[in-house]
Amino acid sequence: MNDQTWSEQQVEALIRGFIEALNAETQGERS
Amino acid sequence: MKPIRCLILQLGRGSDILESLLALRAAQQLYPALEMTLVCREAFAAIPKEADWLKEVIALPTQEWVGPHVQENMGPVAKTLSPLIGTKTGGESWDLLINWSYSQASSYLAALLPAKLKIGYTRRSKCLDFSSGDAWSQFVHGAVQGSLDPGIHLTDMLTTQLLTALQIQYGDPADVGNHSVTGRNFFRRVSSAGDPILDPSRIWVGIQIDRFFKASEWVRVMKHTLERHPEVQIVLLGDSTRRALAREITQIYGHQGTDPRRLVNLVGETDLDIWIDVVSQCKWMISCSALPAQLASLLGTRVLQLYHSKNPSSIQAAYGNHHLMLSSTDNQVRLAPEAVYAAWSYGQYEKNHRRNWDFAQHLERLGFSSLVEWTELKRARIRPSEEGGGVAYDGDITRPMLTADWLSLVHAQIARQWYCGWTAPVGSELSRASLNPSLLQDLRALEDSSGVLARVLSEAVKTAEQFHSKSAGLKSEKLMSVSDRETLETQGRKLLELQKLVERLAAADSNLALFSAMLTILLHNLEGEQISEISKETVHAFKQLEQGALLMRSWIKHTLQMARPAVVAPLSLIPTP
Repeated sequence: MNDQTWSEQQVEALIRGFIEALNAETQGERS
Repeated sequence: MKPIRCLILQLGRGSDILESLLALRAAQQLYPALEMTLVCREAFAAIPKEADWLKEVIALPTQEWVGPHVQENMGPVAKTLSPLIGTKTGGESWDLLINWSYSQASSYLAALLPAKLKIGYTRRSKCLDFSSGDAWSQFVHGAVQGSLDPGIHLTDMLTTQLLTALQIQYGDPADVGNHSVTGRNFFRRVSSAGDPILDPSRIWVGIQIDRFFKASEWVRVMKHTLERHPEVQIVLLGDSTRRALAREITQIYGHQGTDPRRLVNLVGETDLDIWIDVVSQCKWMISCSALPAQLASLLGTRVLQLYHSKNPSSIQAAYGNHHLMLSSTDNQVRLAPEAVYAAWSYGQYEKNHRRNWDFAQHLERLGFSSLVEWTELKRARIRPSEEGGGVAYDGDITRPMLTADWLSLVHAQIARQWYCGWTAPVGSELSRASLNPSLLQDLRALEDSSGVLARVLSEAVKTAEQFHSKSAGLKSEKLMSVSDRETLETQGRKLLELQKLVERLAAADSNLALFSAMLTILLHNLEGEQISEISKETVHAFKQLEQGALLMRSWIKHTLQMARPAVVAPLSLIPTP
């Protein structure tokens, strides 16, 4: 896969997705 | 030499980081231009920071970003990531981004980071949906994360994945000689160590204690070892939560009138540096946890890994030659401490017995014959490259082969055929002596179900080819005749039905689960702007699965043939010596 370019909205969505998934995975690890 | 700037995302736990480090070290020895930066979670950064052959280790404070207030964390996350993203600061793209975390969270991060080539999970540009674009990532997603035994050690998968990407991008490595990847110089502390902590004139056995055994059971392991082998000393290791257990062990041990100097207790006393120093001075590490076992194997210390369960997976076991895996043959029967001593002594003194007797006979010689039925010992072996390379764990006692073992062997061959373009001859590593009625019964059923699967996949390939040919011949994919549209719709529906049929077959015979899991992954990862491009990839997906199903059928046929009684010459024709 080559370099991707993202709009500001997409960057925000990716960061949000990262944090939400991190939350879910951390909860999964704890349980 | 122009450096190959490589960013590795490993947001997993300690043992995941160690697997990545091993694969990276192997790749760096073949491609010295690799300049590697590892991104990991702060909580697990201590281990990679010991590897001074990495250019940099970036520890993400992920613990600080966890919580209900997502919006509040957006700023700090963006700020931390901005030097990595680089575009706003005028930085260059990475030459290669490897995401070995195999998690959803990491896929977002991988998408954000600019790189000329990405391998591992990421997100697609169009609607930010999940993507495992490269072949090995798809296999990890489908097989490993689908709880199927892939039959290949995870480190081998990572190494092959990375080396394949490097070879395609940068050509063959300059030197393909046999390098020793593991050893004392894997981490910086050991190579620059001062006085040894342990007396170098003794044979040291490290035991990473855990609740795996009660204190009295650990003492039984130690007493057998120390009483029978005066040249050996034991060092107890473990984190501070095991201090009480260690105290109990030393108390019981001391009350039995044994020499206290031969048992050193370092539980809760070692930081990572000291732990590494100590373990690298041990000849053996006995452990019931993955992380210490893997760490010891990286340091070149021989590992005996313990499991109470039956047939544990070896895909994350210690990597290297001659490591041992001791497990139970029944999930209801726990491993006996005497079996641990027996396995260690069998491995330690194999230069004397030269494996002229197997582990079952060794147990009998030690007076533990009742344990033969309940104990399984497997030994790691690095295959020569002409046999496909990689690590394999072989049983030291010849036992009836489980269907799960057979399947794992075949999964590995299918993966090699799909991704390496090379497969071992059908039936390699299969022994006639291990075949048994239960396995053969399962394989006869699998012969039928895989036959149906192969026919379904063959039909799917034909339908997908017709679909592709029709769509590629269209002048426009938006404006088409009613009859063209109807043909495409009919073929599309048929493909969907065939896909469901594959799923139903796998649900009816779980030994076909790999095909259903991989079909889902392959179809999810189809790439293309046009219907004709996507349909071309659909053809490839079904062809790949058909090829795998046919290979599985060759193995079934071969195994069933092996089990047939062999024709031997009548006695009268055999010449007498």
